[in-house]
Amino acid sequence: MTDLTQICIISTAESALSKLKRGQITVYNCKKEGAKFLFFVSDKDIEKVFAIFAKPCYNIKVVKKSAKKRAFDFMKLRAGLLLGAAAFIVLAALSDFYMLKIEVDGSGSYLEPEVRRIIQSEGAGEFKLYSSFNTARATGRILALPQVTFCNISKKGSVLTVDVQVDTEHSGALLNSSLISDRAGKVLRLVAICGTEAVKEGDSVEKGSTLIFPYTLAGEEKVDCIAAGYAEIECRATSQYFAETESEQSLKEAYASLLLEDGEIIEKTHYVTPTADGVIYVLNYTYLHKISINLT
Amino acid sequence: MKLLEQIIKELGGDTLKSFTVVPRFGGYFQSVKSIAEYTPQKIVLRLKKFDITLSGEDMQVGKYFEEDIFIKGNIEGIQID
Repeated sequence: MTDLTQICIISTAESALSKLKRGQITVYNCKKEGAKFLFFVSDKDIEKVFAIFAKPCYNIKVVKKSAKKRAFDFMKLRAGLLLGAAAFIVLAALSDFYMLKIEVDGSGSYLEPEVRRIIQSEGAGEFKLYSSFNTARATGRILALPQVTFCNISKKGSVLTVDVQVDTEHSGALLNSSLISDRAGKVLRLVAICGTEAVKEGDSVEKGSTLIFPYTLAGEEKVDCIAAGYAEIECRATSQYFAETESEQSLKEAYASLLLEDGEIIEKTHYVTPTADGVIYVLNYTYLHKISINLT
Repeated sequence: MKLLEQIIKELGGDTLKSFTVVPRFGGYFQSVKSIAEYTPQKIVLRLKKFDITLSGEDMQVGKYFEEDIFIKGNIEGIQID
């Protein structure tokens, strides 16, 4: 881009060149067109040239502004437009570092509330920096959801897409209900993979108490989802066993009669009550009962 | 250029009064005090003690600063008076 401006003056070339030489101005590409004398000077010399030919007898004008000056004038006249375009480019470039939209796709899209909760807890969210999002951890946690067999988190532009695929053979067997305690006891452990915990660890629950609700909380709003998780409940029970005589063997048989379908005995005590025909072993025991919902 | 300057100096000439002409391209002249005549066909350069008259076609001043001048165009003849 040159900084040469073309000037036209009505004068003889000889006298114009002589004056310009005296003014120590470098002239370029001088041309004579009839009475006109055309020449180029550097932008910085324009004012000096006009000062040299300031007398009214000289008819002087700028014929063609330099490319630099034209570009500057163009930008000056369209400053708002250029500023807007620059701001747009900067915003477009910056928006690439941010997540402006989150989409959950795939056959596991019904898990969207839970998937959103996971990725938000790992740093994702609208208008948040993508660099603050822990993709690996979020992927691992989504894969731990019930029936999820595949998870891919990708970012195209400013849209974060979470592709969640589930085992379609089992997805039909999902229950939409809450996890309900089937017996009374104390909650020792409660893990809600999906849904919201209804009680805390250490709480006592009755038979029929809700343990995990089938919704998740987005702020104060409840968003429906499936309940998935498990609970370990410490339960107390008493059992009686009749034996003809009190002996070590009878005690072993009494404890062996406590066949629990699920769970394990964690504490046990007994006492013996004599009867007319023999003895009754009264067994007091505490066992761990595990219940779950929507876990494969 | 250095060789040319050396030759001119050794012969007792003044490099400032030398000039270079490239056929069908133009010429470079030094110590030009003024331009006495200026047309596409004829340019008269006034030096301190003599004039150089250039004849040719489509001649024009390519660059002129202080006493150095570059003439663009087809210089066909040079006369020193």
